Amino acid sequence: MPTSDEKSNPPAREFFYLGKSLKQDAELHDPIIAAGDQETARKVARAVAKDIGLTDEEIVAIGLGPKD
Amino acid sequence: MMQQMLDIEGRPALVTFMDEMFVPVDDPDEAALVKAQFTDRAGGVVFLVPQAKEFDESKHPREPAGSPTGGQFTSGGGGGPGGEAKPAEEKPPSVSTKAKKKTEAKDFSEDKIELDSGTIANKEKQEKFLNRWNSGIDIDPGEFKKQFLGGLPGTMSIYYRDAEDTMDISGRIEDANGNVIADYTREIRFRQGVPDSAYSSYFKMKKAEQGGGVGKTMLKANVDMYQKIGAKKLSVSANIDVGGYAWAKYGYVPTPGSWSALRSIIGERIDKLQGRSARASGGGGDTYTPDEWAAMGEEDHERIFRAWANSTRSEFIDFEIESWRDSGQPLEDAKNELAGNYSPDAEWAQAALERVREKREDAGKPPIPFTDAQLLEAITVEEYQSRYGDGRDDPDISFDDDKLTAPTGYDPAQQTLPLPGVEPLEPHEMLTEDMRKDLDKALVRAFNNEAEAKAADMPTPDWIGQEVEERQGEYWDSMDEGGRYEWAERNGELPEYPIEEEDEDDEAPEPQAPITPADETPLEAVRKLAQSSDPKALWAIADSKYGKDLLLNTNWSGVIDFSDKQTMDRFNAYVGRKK
Repeated sequence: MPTSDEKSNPPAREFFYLGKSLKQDAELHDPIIAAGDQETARKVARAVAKDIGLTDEEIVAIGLGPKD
Repeated sequence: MMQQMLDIEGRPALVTFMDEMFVPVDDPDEAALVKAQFTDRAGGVVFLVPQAKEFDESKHPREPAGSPTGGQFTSGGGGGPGGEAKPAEEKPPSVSTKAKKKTEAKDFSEDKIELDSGTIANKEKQEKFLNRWNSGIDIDPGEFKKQFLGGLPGTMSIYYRDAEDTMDISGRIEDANGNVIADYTREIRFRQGVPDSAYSSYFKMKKAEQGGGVGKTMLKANVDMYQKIGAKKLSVSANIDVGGYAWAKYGYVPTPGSWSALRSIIGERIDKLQGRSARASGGGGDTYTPDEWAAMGEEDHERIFRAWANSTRSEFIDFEIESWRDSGQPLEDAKNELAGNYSPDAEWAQAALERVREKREDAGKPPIPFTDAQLLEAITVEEYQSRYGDGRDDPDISFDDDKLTAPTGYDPAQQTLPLPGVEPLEPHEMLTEDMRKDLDKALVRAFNNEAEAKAADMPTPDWIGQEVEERQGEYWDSMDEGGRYEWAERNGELPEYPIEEEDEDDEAPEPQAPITPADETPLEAVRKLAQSSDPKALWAIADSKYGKDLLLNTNWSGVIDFSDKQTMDRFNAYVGRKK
C-alpha cells in the first residue's frame, strides 16, 4: 500500500466518487467549502501573505481583504 | 472525618473529603473526591475532584445522569484543602473512553472489529499489536470505532503491519438501511511504540449526491481521534479535480517536495493568465488563441485528444480496476484460490479454532475434545464458486468424520459393550452438533475475512490495460465540444494561430481595455507567494481570486500538523464546522 512517505505524490484516492469513468471530487468538496467560515480562513491567509512580504494593497488586490 | 463549609459560586456548601471508595478521610490531602452538599434552599449535592488528583473512572462506573440512581461526578478545579471548589457547570464532566482494562484480541471480535488473521494467529505479532493498542491508543475498541467513524454506522477491520509498525484501518460506511455508501482506509503509524502520524489513504463515496457531509463527518472524527491518541500529523495526497484546491483551503500544507513542484506549476499558470490577458488586449504579439473547439484544426483536435488520453490514462486504469473490484471478481478468485489451496497449516483456520475455543470457554460450554491438529486435518473446503461470480457466497466447509478418530476422553473399550437400546458412540460423534455449528460459523467468517484481504492484494488482470484505450476513445466521443475546449484551456493545450492580416482588415478586433497595473499587480503578488519558500503560501494562493485557476487539477501531497494553530484554524473553519 503506498504511503505518503514512500512516494512524493502517491495516487490520490482520498475523498472521491466515480463519475462516468473518472475519479471526481467536486461535488464532495464544493459544499464543504461553501459552508466554511471563509473569513477565518482568509484571516490566516492574510497573516501568511503578510509574513511573506505582501503589502496591504497587494493583499487586497488578490482578494484576501476582509469582507464585510 | 474532615468537613468544611465552603462558598461555591456564591452558594454555601458543606464539603466532605473522601477517598476513592467514598469513605470520608481526615486528611484533605488524601482526598480523591469532595462531596459538596449545598445548604441553601435549593439544596443539591455535587461531587468534585480535587485538582491534580486523577479519579479512576473505571473504579466508579457512573449511572447515566438523570437516572434515578444517577450521579454526575464533576471535574471542576479546586476543592482541595482551603481551595475554591467550583461547580460542575464550569467544566462539564468528560466521559472517560480510556480502556478500563487491558484490551485483548477477543475484545475486537466482540465489538465487531475484524483483526487480520496474522495478528490473530501469530502470538508474537498479536502481542506487539495489543501492546501498541494498550499503550498507544488505550481506548475500548467499540468506543474507538464509534468515535473514529464520527457516529456513522459502518464496519471496521484492522490490519497490523508489524514490520512498518502501522495499523491499516479500513471498512465501510453505511446508511440507515445498511447500504454501503462509502469505503475507507486510514493508516496510523507508530514510532517508538506510540502513534506518530496518520495517512488518509482511501475514501470513496458510492454516489456523489451523498455529498460532502459524510466525508466531512468522517474526516473531523478521524482528526479528533488522532489528536486524542497523540498522533502529531495527518497526510493526504491531492490530485483529483478539485482536491488540489480544496485541501489547501482546509489547511493542508504541501510537503517540501510537493511545494517545490507546485511552485513552478503555479508560476507557469500565472504566465498563461498574463499571456492570455496580453493577447486579449491586442498588445501581445501577432498570434491569437481560438475561442472555441470548432475554430481549431483537425491536427490540433487529434493532438489535444492524445494529450488528454495520456493525462487521464492512469485514472481510466484506476476506474477499470475499481470496476473490476466492484464486480466481486477478485473476491471470487481469492475465495476460489483459498478453498483450492486449503491445508492444515492455514493460519486463518488456526485462528478460527482458537477463537471458537475461547468463546466456548467464556460461554461455559464443554471444550471441543479434538486437538487443533486433528480438526485442521479433518477440515474439508469444497471447491468454491458463488452463484453470481461475485464472491459473496459463503464457502462450504465440513469435517471428514473418518479423520476424527481420537477424541480426548474417548474409550473404545466402553463402546464394545453397549447397553441394551444404546447405540455405541462413534469417535466423530464426540464433535457435537453445537460444536460443529460454532466451528462452521467461525471458519466461514475467518475464510471470508482472509479472502477479502487477499482480494485487496490480487494482481490486476492484463486485460484492464488493453481495454483502457478503447474506453478513453468512447469517453472522448461522449464529451461535448465545450468540455474538450475547457480541458485544453485548463491544461495549456490550446494552440496559437498567427493573425492573418486580411482577417484584421475584414473584421477589426473588438477594442479591449489595455493591461493596467491594476491587472498586473494581483498576478505578480500571487507570483510572489508562489516564489516563497514558505509552503503555507499555498493557503493565500487558494484563497486569492485566482485560487481555482491556479490549483484545480494540481497534484501534491500535504500534511496537517495538529500542533500548528494556523493549520488547525483553517481546518476547523471548513471541516470542523458543524453546518
